[in-house]
Amino acid sequence: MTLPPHVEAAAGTAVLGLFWACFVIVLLRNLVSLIQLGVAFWDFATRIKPSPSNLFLWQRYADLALPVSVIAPAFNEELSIAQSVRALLALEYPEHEVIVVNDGSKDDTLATLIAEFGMQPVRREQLAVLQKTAILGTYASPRYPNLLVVDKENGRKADAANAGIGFARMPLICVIDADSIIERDGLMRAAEPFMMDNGELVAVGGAIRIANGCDVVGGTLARIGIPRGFIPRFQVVEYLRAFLMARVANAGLGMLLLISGAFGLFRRSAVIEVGGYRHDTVGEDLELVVRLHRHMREQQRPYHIAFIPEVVCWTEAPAELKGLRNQRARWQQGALETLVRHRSMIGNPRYGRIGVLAMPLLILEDVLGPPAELLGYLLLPIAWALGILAPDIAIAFLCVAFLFGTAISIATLALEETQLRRTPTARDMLRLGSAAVLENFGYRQANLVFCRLVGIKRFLKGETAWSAVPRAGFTAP
Amino acid sequence: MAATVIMGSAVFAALMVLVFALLTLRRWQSERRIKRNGGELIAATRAYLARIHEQPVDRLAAAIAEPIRLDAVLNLSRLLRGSERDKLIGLAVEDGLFDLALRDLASGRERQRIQAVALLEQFDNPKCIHALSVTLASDPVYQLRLAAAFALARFGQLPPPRDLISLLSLRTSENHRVQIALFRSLAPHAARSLRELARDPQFTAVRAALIDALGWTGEAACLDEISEAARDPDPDVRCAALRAAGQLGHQQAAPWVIALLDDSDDNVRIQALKCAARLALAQALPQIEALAASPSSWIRWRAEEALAALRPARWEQRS
Repeated sequence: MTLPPHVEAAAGTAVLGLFWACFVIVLLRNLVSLIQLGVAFWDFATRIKPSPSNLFLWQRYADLALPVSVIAPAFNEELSIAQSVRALLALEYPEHEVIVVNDGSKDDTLATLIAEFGMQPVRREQLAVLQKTAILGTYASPRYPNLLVVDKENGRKADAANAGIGFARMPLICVIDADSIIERDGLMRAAEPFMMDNGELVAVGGAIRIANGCDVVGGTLARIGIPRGFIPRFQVVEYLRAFLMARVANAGLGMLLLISGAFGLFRRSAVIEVGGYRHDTVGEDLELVVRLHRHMREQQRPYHIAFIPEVVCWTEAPAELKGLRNQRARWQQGALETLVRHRSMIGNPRYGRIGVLAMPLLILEDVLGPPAELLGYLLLPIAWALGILAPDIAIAFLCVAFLFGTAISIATLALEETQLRRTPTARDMLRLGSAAVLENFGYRQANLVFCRLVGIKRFLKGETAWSAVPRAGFTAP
Repeated sequence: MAATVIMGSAVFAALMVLVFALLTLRRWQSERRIKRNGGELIAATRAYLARIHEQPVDRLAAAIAEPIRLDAVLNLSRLLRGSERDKLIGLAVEDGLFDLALRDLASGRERQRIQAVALLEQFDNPKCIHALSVTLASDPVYQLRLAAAFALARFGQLPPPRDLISLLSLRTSENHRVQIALFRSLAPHAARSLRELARDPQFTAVRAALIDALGWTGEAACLDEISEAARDPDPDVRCAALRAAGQLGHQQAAPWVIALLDDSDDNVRIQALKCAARLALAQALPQIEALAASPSSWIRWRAEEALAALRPARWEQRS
């Protein structure tokens, strides 16, 4: 069957127009990354790292270091919870309490905690009720006076974190995942900006790295390694790109929108003021930071949100595609939910650079970017076959999608090497370098189709279920 | 346009790959050097240990490259204490190991000055201290001046309080924690100046930090200024007075500490509770018991803590 010439011409024009739109979006995304890379390089070049002298003084005058409540929501963590809590109690910090929130675990998480730490039921006043589910009990230990276990009905991580925040008594709260491995002095480094601040700082995010391939002993990192599997190795590159480039740059420009759920330090009063984490989103970490921006700007209060690029925390990445899909789909869905919920901020000068720049960039990154790139890959051969796409345009698209993206990843690895040097050896650098190239051939596309689009679909269907991410557990040497 | 995009992407990618390849090569060479120089590092370490103990040194050790000797000094300086450490740093100065960093402090490039301060702040040697003092006095970048001040504070070598306030513009700074940390570092050597400044109305903006620091002088005579500050209309100053009294640990402060348990400001009452516990003021028990029933959760919590400290109870009874 042949189409009438005018229909064929119209179809061709539509395909070409769509392709050009995809091309421009992909190009814009990469240009934004390039700008972020430049800002991150500048930021690293001119920043003064927390020196041993600063840390020494905060240790000497311990009462000046703002006390921290570390909140670790735990769900079915019986195998690792004792080790994790021991590591949290051993963090180097003048005054911190650890609040473990047992979120209705179906295994023996609570019994393990009671047995390992000699926990006994106590009455502890909850200073703010932010959770939606019932508190079943609170436990403390004479042996570990800075440990509190809160047992509650099952909610979700947001609900468990909110319960912990309600019990927190310290001016700073650090919300982590129960299996996050915080560097021994990570809390001190993350809290240091609060000590140097005049009261405007409301939150600090820290760089997170992937612990797959590392040796973990007693809940602490014993040796840094590179994961053997390609899926976690690609994620190492992704995390470096996200934390060393995007977040450093965004924080430097005063428009950081995300503090990862695996480690975030907040001023307790600010979080309580905005009502804690929301329960009706799967992207509660992003949503909380956006809400903090919104609240502060609506109240016209001076504030800022900082980020420290030094590694403070290590986390296990999903090693299988299924886990990766669930995690990334959740991130995508969470970003869309946040954008819709706070849509009035988008492009709104009332919210300053958050409304005018950061939110539109989030749209570019999370709404337009993934489908546009995918559609570009699909339209390219069609347009070529129809003879309506000049070869140089097709090559230009592939260059932007593959070559430019690879260059950005490799530049981030260079940034890591010159500034942080936490990649163990030259051989490991080569492994990551090759992962930065290889991720463009299959992984990124799979991520777009199986993860991002699944997240978009779940958002459109209004799904609220939390998809679990299976973990393989850490390896001992 | 397409050609520009293709060319731009290709050049950018090629450049990044080249930079990364060079960095990887540099790392590989550095690993090899470390393997090769492991022996040299050990030799340099042994040579410094021998020199510290005035024993004969292998002549070949003198030929070891400066960065390796600096590494040896850095490693040893973390292990040695007292006169041995002082002697080590003296030898490093004699060998000119800090000369490059000292020169970099005068560099126009901020990055180099940052790195120089980061190195020099590890050595409490007169030459390093002088260089850091110059940075504190004259560097155009505030953050670098502050970094130098923190390093000098660690060594107990800050300039007199009046100079420090001026050099770091502390009177206009709103960072009370930094002010307090720096003044506390000065306290053991500058009690008189701190007392003068605490009385001087020109320094009202930093009065809270000055009063707090008086507690770290260890001099009971400072209680005059501290107890006067306890009547200050500014609650921050009253809180500072309570912290200082708690730090001095002098029972003479008891009457006004107990009086401040009934202060109108919550923060002052909380500080008073902490101070009463630190001073073991058993006579404050009735008031503290009353505060344990306060409508404010924070005051109840601190009152319970104070009661626990003053009247140790069975652990299970505490909530």
